Amino acid sequence: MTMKSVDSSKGRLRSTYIAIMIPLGVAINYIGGQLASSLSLPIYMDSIGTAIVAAIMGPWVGAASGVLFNIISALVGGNIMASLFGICNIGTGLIVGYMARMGKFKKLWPDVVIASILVAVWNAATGAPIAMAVYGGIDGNAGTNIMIAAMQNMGRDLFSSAFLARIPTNLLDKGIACVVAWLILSKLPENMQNLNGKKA
Amino acid sequence: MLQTRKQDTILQKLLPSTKLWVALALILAVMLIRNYALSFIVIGISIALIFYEKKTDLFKLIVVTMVVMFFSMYGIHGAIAPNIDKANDPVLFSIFGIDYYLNGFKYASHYYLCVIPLMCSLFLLFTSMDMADLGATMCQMGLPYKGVFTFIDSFQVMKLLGKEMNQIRDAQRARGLETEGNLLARFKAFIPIMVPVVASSIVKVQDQAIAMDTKGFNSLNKKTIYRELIPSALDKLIKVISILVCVGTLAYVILSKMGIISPFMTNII
Amino acid sequence: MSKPIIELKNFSYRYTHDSPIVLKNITFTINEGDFVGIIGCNKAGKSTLCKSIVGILPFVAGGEWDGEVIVDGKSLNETKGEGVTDVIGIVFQDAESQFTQSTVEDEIAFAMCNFGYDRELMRERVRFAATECDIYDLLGRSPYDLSGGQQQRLAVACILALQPRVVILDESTSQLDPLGRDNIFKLVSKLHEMGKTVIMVDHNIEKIADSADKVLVLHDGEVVMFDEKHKVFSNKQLLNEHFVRLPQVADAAIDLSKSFKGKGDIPITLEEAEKYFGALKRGA
Repeated sequence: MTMKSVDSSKGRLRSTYIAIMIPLGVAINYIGGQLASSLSLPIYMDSIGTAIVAAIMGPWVGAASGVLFNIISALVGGNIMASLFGICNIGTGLIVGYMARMGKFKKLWPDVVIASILVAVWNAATGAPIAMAVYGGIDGNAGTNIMIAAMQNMGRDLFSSAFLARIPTNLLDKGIACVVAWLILSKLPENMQNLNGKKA
Repeated sequence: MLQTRKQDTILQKLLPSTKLWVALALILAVMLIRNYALSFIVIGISIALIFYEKKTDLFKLIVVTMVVMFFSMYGIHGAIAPNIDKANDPVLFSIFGIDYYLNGFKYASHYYLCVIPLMCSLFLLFTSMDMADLGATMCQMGLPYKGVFTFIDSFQVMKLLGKEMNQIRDAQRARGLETEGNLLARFKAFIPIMVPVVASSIVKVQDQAIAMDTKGFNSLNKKTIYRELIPSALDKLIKVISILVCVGTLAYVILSKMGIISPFMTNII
Repeated sequence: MSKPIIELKNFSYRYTHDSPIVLKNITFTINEGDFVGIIGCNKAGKSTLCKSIVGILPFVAGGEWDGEVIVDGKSLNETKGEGVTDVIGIVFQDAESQFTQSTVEDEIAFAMCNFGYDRELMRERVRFAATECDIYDLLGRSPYDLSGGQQQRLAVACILALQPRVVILDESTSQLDPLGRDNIFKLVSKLHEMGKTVIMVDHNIEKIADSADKVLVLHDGEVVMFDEKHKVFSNKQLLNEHFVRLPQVADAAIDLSKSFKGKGDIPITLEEAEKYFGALKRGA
């Protein structure tokens, strides 16, 4: 039977999906952080939502979700300058989103591992100067601060200490976030894994 | 509105637009003037209002961050801040053989006494805001409807997903999931709680999108606002004061940078 | 004789090019003021049919189709589904996934805001819809704090506020307890009495038999039967072949009719059964 067709990826439902998925990404980031805190884990786990939304809806929607999370948590936490860390989340969204679009976010090895490393390096590279500008290099994370202090004591300058101290925490944090995101995506039905993800 | 909403305290009675003006005034004043007395006054008034508004439960998390930041910033910068000249800078005191320098404390204060007043005051302002009223305010200001919806809906979904996460955590605990103990056990508990919450919320997205479309979310009609926000006399007064503070702060900064006046209010160097 | 408000003409649909055809050559007409119950086993295509009537499929959510859906004289092939929500309101099974606002009052007003209604009119409609659906006292509450039955009533109120001429309910009672379900059916009957056309998909055969005028039986994407309810529910063999059961009283009456000949049509509701079996007992 020859039937007429409508391609919904060009239709109005996409903008509705965006309006739903961005807040959902924000909320997933939020509960990731809450759960990590309630389990007393030494990591943030507040990028899972960014990664999931980027993989499903595309890199820029994922990035938008990440930035909005940072803005909202900055507003609610009262620390308005912390919204600048949204720049880190933009990178997370773009890296995971573009890798997913190229079909490179399907396997744990090497796809998710490479994504984790790229995201960790980006977050460390951008997080350090932001922390310098907002907090003078020291922020609310005790683990990172201790490493910064140790490195400074060994003679390193504050900026490079802030950068290097963030690499291990980000590798662990973003690495687990990418793995959790990949795991959740693999559990979704086929039609939910890519809600018109070809468009940015 | 047909239903009158709970507005027992002064803060609850103020409109979101008023609170946004106050937030802007505080951000500019604290960040640009950099005055010890101003920082401590803002901290003091904010904490007093937090207790009055009964927001102490949520504020506990902010306090933890403030304490960690205090010890990190003052502890680390006091001893090894980038601009310390260990040969010539005055030593404030020594603990366990580690010297704490005056310039280190000043460096830490430069950031700490800017971040903390804003943390307390903005936390208070935003948690005392009705999000739906904020959405109505943002639409009235002319911001795009779908953007405002996305922003406001985030608060709603955060609350709902948080509740669901607590329910699933309790359910998994009842099934024998260990959420306490060593680090590995706690790490292992993360996924069995996180995955069901997130997967079930994503599966609902399609139904929600269709329901919103049938309710005209994508309609090309000009959207109207249901909530009517009428500013009281207090709203107008606070708005005027906030605008004056903003203008005054900017004038002070510009004039002192140009050398026309001395930066007499700035003492956090 | 009321005029047709919904017509399907040889309508077929599938979700993607590679997926099976879910609706096959569906043809029927629903007149204004009808109360149509849609029944069928799982995967019969009932929800897909409801979404197709409203134009969600294919014009919003995509897919492939053939044939035509005509709503209030306008073919959706030409309008591409635009304007259907002026005529038809649809309530889905999962009420909670339909909510987006922080209070019941805002939720009822949400659709009206999207369509650009005037504030005074919105207030009037919120009052009307909340009163009719018996949720006026809940206006300040969060939709997510309501019980299942209250949430479904809110979902109906959101649609009622737009004053559609047709209301479609897609398995709205399936997640409710018996009391909640009864309340929804009472509300739906009230809507029908207001003059609205009602299309209700439900698995509760007894309630459908009680409330509806006509019944459409769907199986594997095809219309098995669409007729006045007594005619449908007296055809036990056809229904059973398509895995649809009869109302229990009809089933009992048909089985008993082998030994006893009752007076009148096979009963499909308790009230009818009382008269039918009462006549049998009296030996009339």
